[in-house]
Amino acid sequence: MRAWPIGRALVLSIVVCALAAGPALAQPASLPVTVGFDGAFRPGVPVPVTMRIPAPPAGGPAQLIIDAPALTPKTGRATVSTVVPFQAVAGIPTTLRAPVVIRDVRRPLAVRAAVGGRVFAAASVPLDPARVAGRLVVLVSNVRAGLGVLRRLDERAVDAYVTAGALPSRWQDYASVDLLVLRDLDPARLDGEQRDALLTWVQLGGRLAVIARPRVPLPAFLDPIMPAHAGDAGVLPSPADLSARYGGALPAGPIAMVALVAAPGAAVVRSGGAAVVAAHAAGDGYVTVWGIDPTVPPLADWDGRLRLWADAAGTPAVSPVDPAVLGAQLTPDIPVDRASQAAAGLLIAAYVGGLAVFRRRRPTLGAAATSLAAALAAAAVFAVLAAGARARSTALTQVAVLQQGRDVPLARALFVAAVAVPYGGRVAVAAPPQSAAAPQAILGDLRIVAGAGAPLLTGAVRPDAPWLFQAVAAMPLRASARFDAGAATLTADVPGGGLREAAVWWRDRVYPVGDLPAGSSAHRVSAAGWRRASEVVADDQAVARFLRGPEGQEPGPVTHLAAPVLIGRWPGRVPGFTLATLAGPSGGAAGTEEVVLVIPIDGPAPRGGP
Amino acid sequence: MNNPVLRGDLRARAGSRKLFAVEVFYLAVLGVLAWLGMPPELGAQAADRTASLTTALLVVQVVIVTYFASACAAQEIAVESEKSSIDLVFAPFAPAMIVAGKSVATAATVVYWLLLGAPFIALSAGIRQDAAAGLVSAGIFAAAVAWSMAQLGLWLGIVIEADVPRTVVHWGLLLAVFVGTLALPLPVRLLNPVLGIAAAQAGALPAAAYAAYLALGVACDAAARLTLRRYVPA
Repeated sequence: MRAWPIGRALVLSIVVCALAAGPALAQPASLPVTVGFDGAFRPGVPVPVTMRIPAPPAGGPAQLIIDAPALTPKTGRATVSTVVPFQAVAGIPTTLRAPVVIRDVRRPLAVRAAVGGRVFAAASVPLDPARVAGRLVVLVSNVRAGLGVLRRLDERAVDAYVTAGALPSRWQDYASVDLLVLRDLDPARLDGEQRDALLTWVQLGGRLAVIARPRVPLPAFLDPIMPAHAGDAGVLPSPADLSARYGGALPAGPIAMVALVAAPGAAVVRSGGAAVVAAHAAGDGYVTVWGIDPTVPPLADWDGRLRLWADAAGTPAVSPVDPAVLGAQLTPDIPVDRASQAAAGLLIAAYVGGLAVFRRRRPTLGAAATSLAAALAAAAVFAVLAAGARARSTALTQVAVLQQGRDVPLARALFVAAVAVPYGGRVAVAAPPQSAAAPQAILGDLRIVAGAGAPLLTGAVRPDAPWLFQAVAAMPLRASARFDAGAATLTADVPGGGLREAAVWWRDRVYPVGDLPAGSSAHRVSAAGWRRASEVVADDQAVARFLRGPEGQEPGPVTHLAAPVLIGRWPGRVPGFTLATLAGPSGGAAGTEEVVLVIPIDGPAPRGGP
Repeated sequence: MNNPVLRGDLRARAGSRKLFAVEVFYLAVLGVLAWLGMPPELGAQAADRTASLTTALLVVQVVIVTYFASACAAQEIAVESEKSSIDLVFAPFAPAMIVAGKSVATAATVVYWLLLGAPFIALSAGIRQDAAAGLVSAGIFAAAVAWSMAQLGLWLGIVIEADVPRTVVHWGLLLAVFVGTLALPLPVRLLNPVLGIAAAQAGALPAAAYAAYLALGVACDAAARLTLRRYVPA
């Protein structure tokens, strides 16, 4: 008689377990992922990772999480997780792109999408060693051909063929690209963010080549940076001119071309009087327009195209500062909060003593319950005390290097920050708004929430080592400097509060100018005033210490710049890293910050020296 | 609270001078440790030492609470006016009621002591931003260890009548759990309370470890009940 209830209970239990286990056992859907540009990427810099997220089972706040493995010096392995919050709509697939810094190419990226804490799509993305780029050339084209010659240019070069939709929405995501070539670009397929990102990237140092094709207009949004616009289409009138300029005999037969109408000041290569190549600097970048197409026959077989590509790709730009050196120069002061220790001692004594006196006088169950309530209240008080002590002992020190773009009201801002927490443990740091932020050295697992505003970085910091981050952003700034014709007078126009400890840096020489006022000012530069850069960078207090090389006290890459620069300490404020609570960027920054402004100097380079 | 044994034990423990001294000693030790651990560890150290103070406090907590809870249950520390299990059989109370009452009283004592030490854990964990989930896990594991060892003490108190042999066996079993388990292979070694606390704090302690101690406590309760039945008059 009792078998039936037991049997029913057993069946019911099995059904309940099956229902409960069903969702848990459901396999997440596959999640197509494209790393970098056509799978090509460069380790150590932000690369766009594009994910086509399948239809989520439910709507609501969702997260896309990309786990990128990294190697750490002491603990071995760590994971940098990039989290992209998004709003999921049930049944609607979507495409998301997030910047990821790849540090360990031997292990795959782990990508998963979750809504309501439940993972509904996941992928493990192995990285192709053949797509790790030393130099990366990206061609926006409908034809996946034409870049094979690049390996003759540089054996580390990797080519990538993409469509317009794959172009990044943030200029920093072009960091791995050495040359972007636009062949089949329908501007209508680019949104405003993609256009702005492309323009900003070029103006802050990117190199762009545009192939003008017959009956296809050049993208109008690029007009501010273009060295030429397209004229009439026709046949190359004098192939010999190109052979003479670039070498190699051109293939026989007619070669289609678009005659270019060059902008004033552009460097032009002509064929029989028609401009077929035009190029000029655009900000810190360089833009080339080709009226011929070296990616398809007949010019795809022309030996001279190698030099054409080399001219467009140029040589990698030199940054005046080494981010690792900036990090090494940051030595956060770690304030030990003695007042909190004294307060904690008093509170501990009060708690133990008070409890002892109370329980001694009232040895009852009710008193024990009261003691329990007191313990919970004390726990809250101690937690508040601990949070205060920790906040007062946390130091954030940072330096920002603003590299003024040449002839554009824009600067490339590199932020390097060191966070020191003598107690170790978890810490959160908000990066500058609209920046691409990453840890400079991996000390352990790290989580980067890449929201619409400032990225939030959280992780556990070690008590014996500062945690170093860096971020890159673009910020509006208009500063300029120019030498006169004889390079004897420097005219500088500096915004904000002027420039302190300003000096002209040119190769291995430095000319100290002193403090410059805000606005325009002129300064005589005498041949006798130059000093050796190695002497100037040796000063541990001067702004010049940030310009050292990675090894010792010698000057760094600033001595390899193609033109002189004016460098000094800028008293203006820039939105840098801030300490944040783990819930969001609402904490206050502690510590110090310095802003170094680098202004390119136009005009002839000085010839004086020590 | 319908269990008269539970009511009696809780009243006895609330009014006990010995347990009052135990509590003051326990809080003083934790307080001194927490205060001495407040200055930051500025020297270079291994990565696995970054959360050492909070873990150390939790370990001290589990050692003290486990010892005193099991010593009280094993009557190594005689709580004033608290009746032993064998005395209660002749009261007469049913063995099941005695074991249940003693067991719940011990659990309440363990939780009470752990919560009394919570402010020091909050101070240490708050200043190092240790994860709350890890602290809760470690607290639950500490409670499981202390309660199960106390149930072992309860059974020892019934099965071994002589004080000295019972104390020797009690200490031997404590040493076996706190030291002997270090000789076990992984992952069974995580049954060691010290390693288990660290693993629980890191969120790496398998549920089987919690279950193992709870099972030990339940088994000791069952054994205590069976042993008590021998004393029930026919």
